[in-house]
Amino acid sequence: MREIMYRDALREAIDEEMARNNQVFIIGEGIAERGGSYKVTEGLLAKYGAKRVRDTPIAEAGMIGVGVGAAIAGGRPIVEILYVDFAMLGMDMIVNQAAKFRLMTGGSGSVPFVMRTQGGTGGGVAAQHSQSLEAMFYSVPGLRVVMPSTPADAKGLLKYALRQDDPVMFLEHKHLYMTKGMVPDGEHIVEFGIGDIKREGKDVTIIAWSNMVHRALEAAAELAKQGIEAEVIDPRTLVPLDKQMILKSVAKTKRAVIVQEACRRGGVASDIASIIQAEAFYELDAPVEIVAGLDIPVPFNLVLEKASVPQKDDVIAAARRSLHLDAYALAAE
Amino acid sequence: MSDAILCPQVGQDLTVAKVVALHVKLGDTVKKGMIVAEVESEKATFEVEAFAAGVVIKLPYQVGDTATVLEPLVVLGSDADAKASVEQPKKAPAKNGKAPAHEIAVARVAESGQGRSSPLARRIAANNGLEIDKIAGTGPRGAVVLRDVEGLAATSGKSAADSDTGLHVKSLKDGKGTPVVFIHGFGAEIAAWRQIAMAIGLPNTLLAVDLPGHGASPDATAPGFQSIVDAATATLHSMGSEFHLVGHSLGAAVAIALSVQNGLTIKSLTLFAPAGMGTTVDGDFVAGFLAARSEAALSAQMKKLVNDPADLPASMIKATQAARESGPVAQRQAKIAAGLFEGSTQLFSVRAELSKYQGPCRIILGQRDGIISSSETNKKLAPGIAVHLLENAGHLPFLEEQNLSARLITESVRSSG
Amino acid sequence: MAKTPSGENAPPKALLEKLFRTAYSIRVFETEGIKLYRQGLIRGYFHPYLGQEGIATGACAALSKGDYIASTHRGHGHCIAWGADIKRMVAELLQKETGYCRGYGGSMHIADITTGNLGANGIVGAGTPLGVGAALAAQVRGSDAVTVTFTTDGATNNGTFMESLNLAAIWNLNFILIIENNQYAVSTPIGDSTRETDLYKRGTAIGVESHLVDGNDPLAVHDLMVEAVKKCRAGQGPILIEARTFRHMGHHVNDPGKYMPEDKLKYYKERDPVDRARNDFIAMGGATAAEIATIEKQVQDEFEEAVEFSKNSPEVSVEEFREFAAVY
Repeated sequence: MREIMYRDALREAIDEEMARNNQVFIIGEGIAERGGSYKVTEGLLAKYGAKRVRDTPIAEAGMIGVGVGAAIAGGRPIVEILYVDFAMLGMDMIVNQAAKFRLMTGGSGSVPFVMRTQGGTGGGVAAQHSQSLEAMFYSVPGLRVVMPSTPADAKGLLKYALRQDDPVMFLEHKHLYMTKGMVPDGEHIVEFGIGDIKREGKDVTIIAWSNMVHRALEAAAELAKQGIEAEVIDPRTLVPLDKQMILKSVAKTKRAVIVQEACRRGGVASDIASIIQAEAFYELDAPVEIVAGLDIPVPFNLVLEKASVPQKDDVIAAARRSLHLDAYALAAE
Repeated sequence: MSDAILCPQVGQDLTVAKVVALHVKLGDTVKKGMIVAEVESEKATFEVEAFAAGVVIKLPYQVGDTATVLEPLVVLGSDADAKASVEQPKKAPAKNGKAPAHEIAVARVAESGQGRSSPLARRIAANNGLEIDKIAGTGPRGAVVLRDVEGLAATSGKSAADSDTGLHVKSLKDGKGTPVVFIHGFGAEIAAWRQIAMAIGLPNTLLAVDLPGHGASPDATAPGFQSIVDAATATLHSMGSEFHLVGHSLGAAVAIALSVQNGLTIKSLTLFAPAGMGTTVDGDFVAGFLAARSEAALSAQMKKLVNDPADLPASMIKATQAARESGPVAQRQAKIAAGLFEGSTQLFSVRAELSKYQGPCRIILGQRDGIISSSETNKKLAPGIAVHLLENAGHLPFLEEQNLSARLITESVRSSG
Repeated sequence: MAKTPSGENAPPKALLEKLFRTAYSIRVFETEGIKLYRQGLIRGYFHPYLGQEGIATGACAALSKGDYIASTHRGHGHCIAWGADIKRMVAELLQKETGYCRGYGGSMHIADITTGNLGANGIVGAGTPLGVGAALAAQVRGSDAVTVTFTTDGATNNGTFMESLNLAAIWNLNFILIIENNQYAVSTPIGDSTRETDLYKRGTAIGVESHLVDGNDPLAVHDLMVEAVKKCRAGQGPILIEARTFRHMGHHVNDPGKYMPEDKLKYYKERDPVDRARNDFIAMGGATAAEIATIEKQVQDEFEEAVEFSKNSPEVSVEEFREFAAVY
């Protein structure tokens, strides 16, 4: 085990997979000579050459489309999109092409395409560079949606993404690139659809992904001081989703809190909540709590930015509500 | 034989078209490729070409009519058809009378009074015979929550905190879809299913559970059949909500009881020599089985389970003996037996539960069952239940007739759709 | 643009036969397919390639095994010219299990990745980036395969047209983009969609070698493509070709195309690409009336057999569909 940064873990994954399979290549804005905005691709140009590490013009729809086409034709492209916000320019290629191809060919075609990008708030980059858009991809059957929270998961999931055959939306978080974590030595692969219990507990289940895992862990540490043992579950991949892990944990704790940075409306949290109520209704001792971002574009002002997304105290309050520990604000009643 | 030339599709969403010309009349001979009619949509006129040859025997529409898209416009037949088609009887009119009134039995759900309650609290209360509207709640607006029923259920002597009663579950085969759960009989354990599991070709996951006091499961929390059912219910709940069940003897009775539990959907039941269906049991066997100390004594008792002693694997006797030597298995099971049987009488019945079960159900009985009377079981069963009477089997049909039993399990699972 | 090479300059008879057979196959497929549609055997959308047969016919004849094509919503002609099995095409349109896509794709999505057919596409313009992607994958692989995307005049006003052609240019990809300029985006005439109706000029603006060709002349399309393919394989790609043509009917099977001026339609019908291929085969290849009749009969029989095959093919299985859905 070594302690390395999230961005270095991503680079290791790309490096190892490029060495392993010469069909793997990466294109993106400023990723070759400059090594990418977050230094994820630093050094890859020198190692693998201009054929496999390419800078692109600012043309997201074209880049994504070219990546999808390359994948259909047997390549293993990684397309780096600077911000998930910019991926919206390529939505036709993601939604109508990549996601559909396997079905439209009756199962004979596949699209082993990986789009790496990043989202989330951090440092006042304002409304067009701060979004958490996983729900858009989540609601399109045919896409895999991956949201690693730690360096080890980032590496293992990206390596797996480059070995499986479906289009992957690999959604990193801008706040996590410089965070550190232990990563196993040698080959480290994390399959899709297997969640991870980031902290064990018996009193309440907190489900979170990407940067919110860390907020959930901070909340769990605080709750422990209050005598509440929270279990923090990180599904790691939203599609496929490790339903069993979630249901099993809820069956144990009888309470669920779901935390997402994305806005509340139409989010993945709502869907997970509906799964829990449908499949574990008789386990529930309290309504499923959702802690989510506000239904509003992320503002620039740093105080307001913080107010627009879930904070540790919001998670703690939700966990306590689900344990019937605090007075209830019965707003609608 | 007749061929119908249909009113053409003339638009993606258009359902009708106007007939503007008919180039044929009844009795005309039509050749393939002829233009027989013209229809008009709001956008354009389309010629209708004959794709087959024949004599016009029917023209459902006249010029000026509005025709339904993809309904016959021109019907072609042979000469003989043309003669016979003078008057075709209309379609039989819809049957007279009302549709049979379905009797819908609405199970009245007990209202929980003015108070509120969490789903979990309601489930535990129901399983423990507690009236939830009489319980003081400490949740939001006085809702009854887990902590309010936990204490009560515990004092009523029944299991409450079901996480503590978690039974040992083992996967016999990993697969997909609704899992099939195997529940063994009294004195047995998961291993009893190992052989037949290998003979089952289903894609589903096959799971087996150790009943309380058996195998690797903890003891029952209270005497009696209900605590066994409660423990099994909690265990299934923790794994999901939909299952197929396969049970043997006591395990079959547990399976029947599970089929009526709230929150569980049992897709099919396959029951081998189910207990709880009659009043008698071979009390001597129960006593002798529990009292046996040596392998020889155990072997003598266990041979009563089968019609042909050769069908009883020696490994099974050895395993039972080994389990007894490694712990107080017999004492634990004696305690359970005391709550289930009194001499040669079964103290519990699942007949009422079985009569409520609506899914596919098969009962497999050995006619030479010396432990539980197959004829007692095979009385007054609901007509929807399939009974398979195996002439040469005893109390362990799934071992004695393994291939047939595997097939019956497979069919039960498949027939649930 | 007219040319009548003869004697030793004449193209080989086998090529002329191939061009005629292909163009005629497309014509029969579309004409008979429309009849099947009218009688309800084919459902959904159906965009006939009638009038444009010369382009796919000429272009595909210049390609080799290992190359790729990407097509449009009007894709039957490209499939047939690429050598697809008519049986499996008809079966797909009849929603059968034996279709190219097991009835899951339909008219606008026939693809066969095993032969390098990247597929028709229901999104106008989408084939361009996908084709550039295939060319990129080939370059990474070290292959000299050429990818041809057939696109439409309507698609040239879509952002991905320039984005992806530009990517092909900066990376010198083996990519040929053929704009089938049938002069209508559904019902909007080209002059209403762009000020510069010479669409090939868009390539020159970003340094891509660009050509204009008569799309109703299969042989001219073929000859230009032979040159383009040669240049690509020599590392001088990409190349843009505008092939001008005209539809024989509206945008789709239910569009009578009343907005298409009759004189213009007449002009193009007089220059019918299938007639052109037939006449070339006779004039330059010396084909006899009997040879022509034999080919036409073979093509018609092939289509009828395909319909029989499809009618007798198994229906799709909802059970298998559910299993398929489980992977999503």
